Amino acid sequence: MPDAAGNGCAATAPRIPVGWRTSSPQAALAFIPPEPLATESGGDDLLSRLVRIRAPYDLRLRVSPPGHKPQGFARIGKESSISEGAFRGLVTPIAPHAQRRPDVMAVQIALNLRFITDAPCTMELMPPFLSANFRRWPGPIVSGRFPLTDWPRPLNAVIEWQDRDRDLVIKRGDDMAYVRFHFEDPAALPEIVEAADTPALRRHLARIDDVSSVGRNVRPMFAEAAARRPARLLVPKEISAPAW
Amino acid sequence: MYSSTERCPVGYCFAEDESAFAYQPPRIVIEGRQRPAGARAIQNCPAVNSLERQLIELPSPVNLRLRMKIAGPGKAEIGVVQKGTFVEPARLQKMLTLAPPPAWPHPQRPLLQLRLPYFFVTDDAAMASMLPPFFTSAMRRWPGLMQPERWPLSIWPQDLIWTLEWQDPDGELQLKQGEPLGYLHLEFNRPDKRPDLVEAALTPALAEYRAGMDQVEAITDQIEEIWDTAGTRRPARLLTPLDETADA
Repeated sequence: MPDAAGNGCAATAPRIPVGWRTSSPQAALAFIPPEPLATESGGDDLLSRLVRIRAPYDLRLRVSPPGHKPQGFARIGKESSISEGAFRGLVTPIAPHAQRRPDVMAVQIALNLRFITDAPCTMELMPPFLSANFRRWPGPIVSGRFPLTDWPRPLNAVIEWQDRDRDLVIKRGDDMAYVRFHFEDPAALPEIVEAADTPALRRHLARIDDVSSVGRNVRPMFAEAAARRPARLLVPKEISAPAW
Repeated sequence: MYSSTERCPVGYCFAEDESAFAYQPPRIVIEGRQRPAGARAIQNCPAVNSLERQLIELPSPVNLRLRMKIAGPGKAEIGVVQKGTFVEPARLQKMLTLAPPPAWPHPQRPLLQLRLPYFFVTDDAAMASMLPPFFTSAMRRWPGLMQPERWPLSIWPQDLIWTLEWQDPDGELQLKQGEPLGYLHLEFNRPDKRPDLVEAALTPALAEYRAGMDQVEAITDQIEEIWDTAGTRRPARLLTPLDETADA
C-alpha cells in the first residue's frame, strides 16, 4: 500500500535533492534554471511534481510542406532571437527512417540540460501539456522514461510535426518540456539545485554521452553504468554573490 | 531495471452494466502504435517504450460537439451542437455537467465535467495521475485545458471525471467516441513494474468499498485523513478479473 499520509501535502513531503547542469558551459547564464510548476506554498500535489524546462530564446521554426523532398526546416529570422550559428548547434533533423511515421517529420531541439541525483530515481520527459502555448504547437515532443540515477543523459525535445501547416513559435520563458521524478517514496518531492562540476561527474557523463551512436541496445549499458557509477555524482554548487 | 519483467494487474470496471458494450475499453498507449520504419526509429527507443507502457488511454465514451454560452461571471450554460452529437439528451445530462461556479479557477472560465463510464482498481501499490492526452493533435484544438490530478489508486478506486477548464469563449469542443480524453499514468513501488490491463468485476466487496468513498466530500474536506482511514479499512482484495467470475 502506498503511504497516503503526506500525499497531496507538499509542505510536509520529504525532499530529495536533484541537481541540474547545462550540457555546455557556453552562454549557460542565458538558460533558465528548471523549476516546479508550483512551489511548496502552492499546495497542489501534482503541480509540485512537474518541473518545467523553459526556452531561453525566441524562435519561429518552420518545416517544408508535405511531399517536399528533401524535407527540411528553417528558422524564421525576424521572429528568432537565437542566432543562426547557435540554432545550428541546438537543432537537428531526425532522419526519415528514424521517424515514428513516414508522414510525421521530427526535429530535435537540444535542451542543453541534464539532471543528476544520487537517490534511486526514474525520470520522465513529457511535453508541457498544461502550458497554454503547447496548444499552439505543431505536435508533441517524443516522451520517455529512464533510470536517472545511473544515466544522467542530456535532454532533447524532439518535436513530432503532426500539423504540417503550423510553425513552432517559442518565446523566451515559454515551457519547452516537463520532467517528473519518481523516487522510492511516492510522497517525496524533488529539491532542485544547480549541480557543481566534479571530476567524478565529468567522467561519468562522458561515458554516457553518445552511446546510442555506438550500440543500439542500451539496456546492458544501464547495468554497466550502475556497476561503475561513483557513489556520489551530485555535489550542489555553492552559490553566493557579494551583498552590497 | 527496465526489463519490465513484472506486470501488475490493473482492472478497468464499468460502473454500470447498462449499455456498457457501447463504450470502448481503456488501452495501453504502446499497443496502438505503428510498426517502426527502421532500427533507429523512435519506436525502438527504450525510454519511449518504457513510458508508453505506463500510460493508459482513456477513450471518450461519446461523440460530442459543444459550445459554451458565458453570460457573465459565474454564469455559463452548455450549448450542445446537434450535428456531431449522437448521444441522447437524457443520457448526456447524466454524464455531462458544469462544476458549481465557486470551483471554477476563474469566474469567466467554467469547468466542464464529463463522467467516464469506467474506473480503475488494483491490488498492487500504485499512485495514479490523470493527464491530458498530450500525444494527440485533438487536445491542441480543445477550447481549454484539461485539469490533471493524482491520487493513491490502490485505496481509492474512484469514478473518473474528465474536467476541462473552458478558456476560449468562442471555442468549440469536439470529442470523438474512442479517441483519448486523457491518460492514466501509473506509478508502482518499483520502476520495473508495468500495468497489465484486465476487465474487473464489480464484486460486492468492491461495490461496498466504493459506496464508502461516495459523497465523502459532503461530510469533510479532509481527504488525506480519509485516505489514511481507507488504508486501514480496505479489503485485501478489490480486483477480481471478470473472466474469473463465470459463476458469480
